[in-house]
Amino acid sequence: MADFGQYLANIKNSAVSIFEGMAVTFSWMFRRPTTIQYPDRSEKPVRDMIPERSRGVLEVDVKTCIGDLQCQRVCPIGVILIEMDKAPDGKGRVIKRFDIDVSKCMYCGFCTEVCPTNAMRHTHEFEGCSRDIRNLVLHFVDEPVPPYKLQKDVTPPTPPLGEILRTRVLRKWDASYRAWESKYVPPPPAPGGGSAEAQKGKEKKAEAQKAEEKKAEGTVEAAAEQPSRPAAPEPLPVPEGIRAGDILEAVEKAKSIPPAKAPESPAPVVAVPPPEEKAAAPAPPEPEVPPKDHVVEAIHEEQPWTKQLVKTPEPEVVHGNVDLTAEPLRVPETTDRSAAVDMEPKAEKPSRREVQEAVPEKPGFVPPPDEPDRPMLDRVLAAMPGVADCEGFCGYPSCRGYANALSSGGEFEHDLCDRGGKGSADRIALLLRKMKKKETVKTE
Amino acid sequence: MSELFTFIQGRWDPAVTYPQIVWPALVVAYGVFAVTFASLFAGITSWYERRVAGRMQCRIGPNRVGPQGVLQWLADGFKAFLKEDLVPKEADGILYRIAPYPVFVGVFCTWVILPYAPAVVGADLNVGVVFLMAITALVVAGIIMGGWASNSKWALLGGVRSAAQMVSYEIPVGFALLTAVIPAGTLSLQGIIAAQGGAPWNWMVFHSPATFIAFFVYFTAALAEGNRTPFDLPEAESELVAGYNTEYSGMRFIWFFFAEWANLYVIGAVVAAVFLGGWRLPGVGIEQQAASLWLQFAGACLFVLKALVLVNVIIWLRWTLPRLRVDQLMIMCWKYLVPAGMVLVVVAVFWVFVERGMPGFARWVAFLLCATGFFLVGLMFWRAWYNIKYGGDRLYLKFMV
Repeated sequence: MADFGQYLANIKNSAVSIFEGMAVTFSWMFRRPTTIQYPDRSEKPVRDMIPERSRGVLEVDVKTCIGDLQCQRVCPIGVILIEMDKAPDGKGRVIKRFDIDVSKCMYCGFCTEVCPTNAMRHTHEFEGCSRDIRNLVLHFVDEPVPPYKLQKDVTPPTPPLGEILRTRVLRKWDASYRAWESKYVPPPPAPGGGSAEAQKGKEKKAEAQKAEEKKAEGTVEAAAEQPSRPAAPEPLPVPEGIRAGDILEAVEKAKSIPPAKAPESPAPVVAVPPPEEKAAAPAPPEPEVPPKDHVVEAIHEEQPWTKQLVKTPEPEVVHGNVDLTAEPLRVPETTDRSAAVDMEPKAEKPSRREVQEAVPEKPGFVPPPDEPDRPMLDRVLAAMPGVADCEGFCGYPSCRGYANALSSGGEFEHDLCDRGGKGSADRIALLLRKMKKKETVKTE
Repeated sequence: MSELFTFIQGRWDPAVTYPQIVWPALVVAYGVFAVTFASLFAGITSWYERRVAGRMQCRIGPNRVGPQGVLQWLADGFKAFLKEDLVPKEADGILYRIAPYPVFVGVFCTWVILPYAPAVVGADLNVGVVFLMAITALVVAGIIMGGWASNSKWALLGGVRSAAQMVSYEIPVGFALLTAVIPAGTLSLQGIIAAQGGAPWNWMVFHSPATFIAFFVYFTAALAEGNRTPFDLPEAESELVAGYNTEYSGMRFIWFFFAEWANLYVIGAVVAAVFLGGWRLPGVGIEQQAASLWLQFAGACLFVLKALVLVNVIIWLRWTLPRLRVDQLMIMCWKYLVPAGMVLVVVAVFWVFVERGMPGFARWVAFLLCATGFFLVGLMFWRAWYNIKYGGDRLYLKFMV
């Protein structure tokens, strides 16, 4: 009987609990939903609804920044990059650059705590969505600004929170990096250091040099000027799929043709060593032409497939953003120049591995020069080969973009330059390490 | 027009008035109407249910596609149309492909016997209730077919669970319907409606204590048969991925859910017809209602309204109760609903004698039960209001957020 009582109690309990449960859910039909319809149907902007002391994206008011670089020093990640410069009138300094990389910021708030004028603040902005992480490096200085002077009994003015930041954040999440670059990355600077006249002189020199090269081209001397080149063309591999009959035929034909001219010198690289070096280089003996090469040449001339193998050499202008007149490419002088394979046009693009193997190891490594006055961007750029047929392995649209990212601290990977190989990477690493030390000490 | 009027009034003799070709045309027209109604209902309910679920969970629900999100179901359907119709490599191709259709057909065929008005009914079968139970069993066949043909463990488990569940719950469904059939004296749905009255105390629910309990038994068992939460074990996401439709995608997947949501209306309509007076209007006789086009229309509206209220209750239950375990499901059926159904049939038979012998007492009991029913509804509203008041909230009667 007790079991039956339990049986009935079960029925009663389930009925009552279902009834009560339904009453609870029913009651929610007559209550206001708590959903905030972010982003377009909230009653006020969400940045006004979040707690007052919440830490959003950093902003800095450069007008009240005293330029003491405390924030840069205290930042555990290195999010902040400040560059100070001498004022154009010679008195005091100016803040030339104030970048905050929001993508790396961890919102610890140290920088806001050390700031004596409250120029550095956490805003309530949090919408930094962007398709390109480089768009998140915010630049707060357009024109060099003199630092703020702290005065007694004067509290620095504070603009409304987030007002400055909103002008700096790229709102479109898919804004292209090029748009960003054209807006914020400084254009290529006037070549080199020193006065404009010296500059011109240098340019003229370079032009004359180029003209010389053009003249010399085609002659045997041109080959002589390039001691590093292998004198004779390497024996050409016979491509697969060619029958022996074809070759024999070609040989027969070649016999009737007068011997071909000497193998032409390959394209001179414009990234020539400086004149002094050129003068010092002893002219090597004229390359000997082994007789069997005639046959090979003949085949080249007759057969259509040989066109792939032998290219008519043309002066290949190394381009990219390298400022040649100011800074010659860092090609190791002490080693055989044939090692600098990445400088020369090739029938087939060498793989990354090949390039890396070709670049000399430490013994031939030439550290970048110490030029404290030159902008870091240019110095990093000069450490890259800046070749024409770059495959863009680094993922940046131009060498300048990559150099900018490296020099502003937006990019950590210093060995992304495919064509530069290990030598380039080591030079960049050295430069960046120097930069870190320098910039922290530079605070005067 | 007058011919149509006579047809709707039910005084129309197809053999005399029209050539034989018109009758099939009308049958096809009704079929198109039924399928259209069911599809629209299933689609709109899928949106409506999500909105209700949102409000019950203190959120809003889909409100972006169209005003208040009313076009959400169209967007979802369109998306499903564009999906790839995938058949697993190891699946039984033919069975897999045809499996959604028995489910779909099993639910949609019930429209044949759903009576909207004295004259508006697909076919007033004299075995209506039996037809209802028989045709709904097609759903089981479809689900097992899908579960087996998918050649997937989850799908098979879901299909087997579904078979066990549906076959078990056919029994309480049968007992509960029988309890209503005994006082009505007919298996035809139109006959059962005719046996009731328009006023609530004349409804079948409040006819006797047996039918009052049978109403709840039927409602519960019908939910279980239709795989609705809290009895949606065949498609328990948390344990079976998606149950019998794990491997389905695109439109074939949608067919299953079409059937499920259409089944909501079927449950509501059958309960409304068998227990809640169907299309009967209060204070209007059957002949009077059959004679007037407008009264027929009003009756149809009332019938649909009752069905929709019940659909709301089903949705409400779904977002209130957690899913049962398999053992609990079987205990609920075999230890509670089946014995209850047996007792109810006996009581219903007994009540026929009470009604004959003591008509006054039977009438008094009907009033009492009716009062109890309305008291329960009122109690529900009061409890809801109480929850809001003592939950520290304010009444918020705006439904469109």
